[in-house]
Amino acid sequence: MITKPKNIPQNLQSGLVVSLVALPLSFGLALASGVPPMAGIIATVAGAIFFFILGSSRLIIAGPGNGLVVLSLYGVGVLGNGDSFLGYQLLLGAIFTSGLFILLMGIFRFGVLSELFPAAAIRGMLAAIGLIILSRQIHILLGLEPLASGAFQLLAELPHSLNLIWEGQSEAAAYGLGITSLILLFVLPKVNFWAFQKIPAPMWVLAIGIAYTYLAPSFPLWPQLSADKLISLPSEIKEAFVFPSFDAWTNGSFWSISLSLAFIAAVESLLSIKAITKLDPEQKRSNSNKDLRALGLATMASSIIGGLNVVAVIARSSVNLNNGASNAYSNLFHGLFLALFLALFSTQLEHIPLAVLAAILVHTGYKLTAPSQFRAMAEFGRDELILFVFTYLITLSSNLIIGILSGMLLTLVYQLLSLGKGTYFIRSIFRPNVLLFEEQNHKFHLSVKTMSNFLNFLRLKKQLDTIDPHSELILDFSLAHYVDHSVLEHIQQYRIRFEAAGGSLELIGLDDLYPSSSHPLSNRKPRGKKGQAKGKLSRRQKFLRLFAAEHNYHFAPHEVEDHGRFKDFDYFNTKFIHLLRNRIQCRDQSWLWCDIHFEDNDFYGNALRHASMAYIPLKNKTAAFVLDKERLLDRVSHLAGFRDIDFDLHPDFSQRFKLKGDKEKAIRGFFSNALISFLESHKQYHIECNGRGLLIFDKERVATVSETKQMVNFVEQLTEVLNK
Amino acid sequence: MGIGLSPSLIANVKEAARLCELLGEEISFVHVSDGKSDLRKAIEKQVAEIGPLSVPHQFLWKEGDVATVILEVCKEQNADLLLAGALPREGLLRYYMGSIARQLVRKSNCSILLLTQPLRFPKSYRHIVVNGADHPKTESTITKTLAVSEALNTNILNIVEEIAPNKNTSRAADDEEAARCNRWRHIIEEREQHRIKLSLKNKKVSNLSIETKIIFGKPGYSIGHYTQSSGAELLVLNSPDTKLGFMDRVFTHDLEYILSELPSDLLIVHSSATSSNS
Repeated sequence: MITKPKNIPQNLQSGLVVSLVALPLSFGLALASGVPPMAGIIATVAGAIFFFILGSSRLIIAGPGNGLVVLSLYGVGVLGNGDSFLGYQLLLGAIFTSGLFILLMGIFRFGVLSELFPAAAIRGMLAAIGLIILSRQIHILLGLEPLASGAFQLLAELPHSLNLIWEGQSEAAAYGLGITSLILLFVLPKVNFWAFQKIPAPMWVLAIGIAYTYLAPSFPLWPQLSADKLISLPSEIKEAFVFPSFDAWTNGSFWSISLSLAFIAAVESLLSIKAITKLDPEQKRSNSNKDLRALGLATMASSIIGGLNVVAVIARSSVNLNNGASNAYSNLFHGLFLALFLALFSTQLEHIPLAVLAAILVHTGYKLTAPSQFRAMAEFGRDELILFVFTYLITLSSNLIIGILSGMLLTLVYQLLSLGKGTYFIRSIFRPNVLLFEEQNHKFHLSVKTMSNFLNFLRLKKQLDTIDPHSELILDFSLAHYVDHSVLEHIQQYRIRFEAAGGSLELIGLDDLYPSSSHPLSNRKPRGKKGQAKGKLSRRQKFLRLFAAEHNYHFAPHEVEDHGRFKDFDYFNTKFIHLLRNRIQCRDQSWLWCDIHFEDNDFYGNALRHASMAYIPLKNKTAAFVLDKERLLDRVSHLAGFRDIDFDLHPDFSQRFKLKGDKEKAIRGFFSNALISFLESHKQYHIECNGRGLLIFDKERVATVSETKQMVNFVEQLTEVLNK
Repeated sequence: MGIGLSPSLIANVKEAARLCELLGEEISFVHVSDGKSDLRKAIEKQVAEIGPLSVPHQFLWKEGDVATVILEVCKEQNADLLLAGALPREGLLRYYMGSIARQLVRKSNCSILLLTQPLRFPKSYRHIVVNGADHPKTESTITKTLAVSEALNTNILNIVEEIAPNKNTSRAADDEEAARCNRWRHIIEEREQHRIKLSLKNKKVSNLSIETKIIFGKPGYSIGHYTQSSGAELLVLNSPDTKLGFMDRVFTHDLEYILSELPSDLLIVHSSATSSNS
């Protein structure tokens, strides 16, 4: 996105830092993909230029990505049939086609693609990619060429490689540098020294590697590094450009590779864009379709001159963000810096040992597949962990596409099984289940029915996107039976966006669905017979608890029976009260606020409803009445005939409120001047009196936290007025 | 009113009688047996338990195909309104085979009221949702709804118009698109609110708060979801333009969404029918 150049010095600096990370990574990823190192640099520069011009995300860095390493390596092998240069050319053809596919995805608005996959499956696939990269590169780090293919076989080969080192068949300089680099990559970022904090660790190890290869020949005692353990760059710039070949287009695997490349590139890019948007301090929404189009064109341009796929990458983008980038110029600068480095230091760069690059890749791969990833998934609950591990293992033993698709399928089967009533929910997934309407001006109500999971999240997202984030949004899950982790994760991002824009997004109706672990974003499903134990508190309940604590009220989230407090009101005449929960109570018990679960009638038990209401016991008995602004007044059939009681002294009150009851005299006595002026000056609630107490509520649904605060405040003040 | 032996028989009969008291003059209960088993005695026994009904009524005992016979009786008696009990939610098999209630809806030539949650004690219809689509039938549907709500002592009437999202009103991939989409929605909303206001201009409305909602969402589905989420007791719709067939259930649309999962009692107003209901 070309904008007016702003904050150039800052973006220049972040561009420089990113290019220091990008340089070793571009070399490394290209080598790991089985193509010449220049392919990575070309992809970076093409990505920087094209994404700068056409993309819409400001903070994204585009370049070669981790996710495609595995596929590209496979592509070179399969298409070239052993001839690596031919394989490279044919792969470029496949990359060009994949760029075309990505462009088409952007044109046909596939920008929502990444939302379609369950979070656990995507993470499982990424972790598997990490292990695949790691398992191969660790051999190169040790200065050896691995024989096997496949992650498990490669790992199994490790003892063999170690044995070779023991027998002295590997160059000591290679594995020495490799292992030292790996250790430094882990340690340096943690050392609190300005140079290590400013200049990224990969650049340090690269510098050490280059320095060693320069110095070693002058010290004959040092282990020497042979030339084939260094990267080779073309001596002239012209030689760097290799042109794609489409000779394999009749070959089925050509198409499957280019489709897979397009798919993985799109998913990786969309995920990175989403992750960066989450971190963006300005919370500006980017157009993912536009980004896809830009990436497609960049990929095509890159492949024409011999470069890899261009994807939006998360690690470099977050370095970009952390170094103060504020617009797309930093992406452009990082590409230009890279080209500049290559032009200025091409002889020095030729001295990079392969083992050092392998160490950088092992580090990258490790971060993707580290135990901390498993721990993070375990926090979402056992079911998410199972899905994650399943996708992980399937991906390792087959391929990426099969891995993620089977992860998706298993997630779906698992969700349906855990719910029972499978056919009903299967049907509901493919049917509309969201409703959006404007409750008041700038206050929206978005209700979700039946099951909300990764497959039908797109429908919810479509509606969420249309709401102006400055407004207030109530997301109502009280009609839903199942809300999965992916949906909650997406919604959290929307909440951040709404709050950044000055609006608000509140979830209601989740209190009834029980999370499968203590993590706030874990799956929520109806509690089975077994789990009658205390459920974890929802976000709303935690806020209510906090609110109660701040005002020294008593908060009790658990469910209790109603001991005749609410039952006697006319409103509940034809209703059956199941239970009360989330009670907020004054210490002296002078009022009570709670969520009430009731059924609208007693015949078919399928109309369970929830509403937040308050109860104030009265000290002295009085006459029954109903007070409201016209709206809900005549619901109580036997009051229908009575006329509105007006007060001559309070014309405003008489006009705005309708007051009905059969004992007019007693009611007039109850409405003292103080009470009327209090009611006049506050928000209008529905107030009902059964002679012994008052029932107060606003909407016939669960109140959001802010509505609750308002309501409790009202009730508290009303109690004071009544007790005067 | 079509009746059969079911757990909700008594409630259905009571509810029908009560509605008749408010809306009509006379009610005929029709039971159609398949000729094999005779449930007449069992039904008569249960109905007798209720005690005398307060409205003029008759019981007709017929034999044959349930839907056809009931519709024939409707024609013969020149009925204004056909009542039937219905299950709120249909199973998958029932969905594709079609229930009796659904057959009635499909073929009926008079207005039809499906009772989903009949009560033994009087239930109040305090909140009614009616469709406000831009359609020639809507005007008469709203007119009749107003009459019904007057008779049933209703307090809240929501006129809901569903607008199918199109390119302009649904695309919101970034802030710019979202702003444009909101502008479009706003324009359409103003226009439709105005249209409905105009159509209500000459109607006499007393003691009823009318609110118009413009919902951007799947037509046929959104109004049902709205009814459920707002807790209304009755949903009033136009009669379908075409007879619904099997393919309509395979590719679910419009009325089929509501029929497969009734959010509340459902009244389908047949516009060509002579003025019914008080």
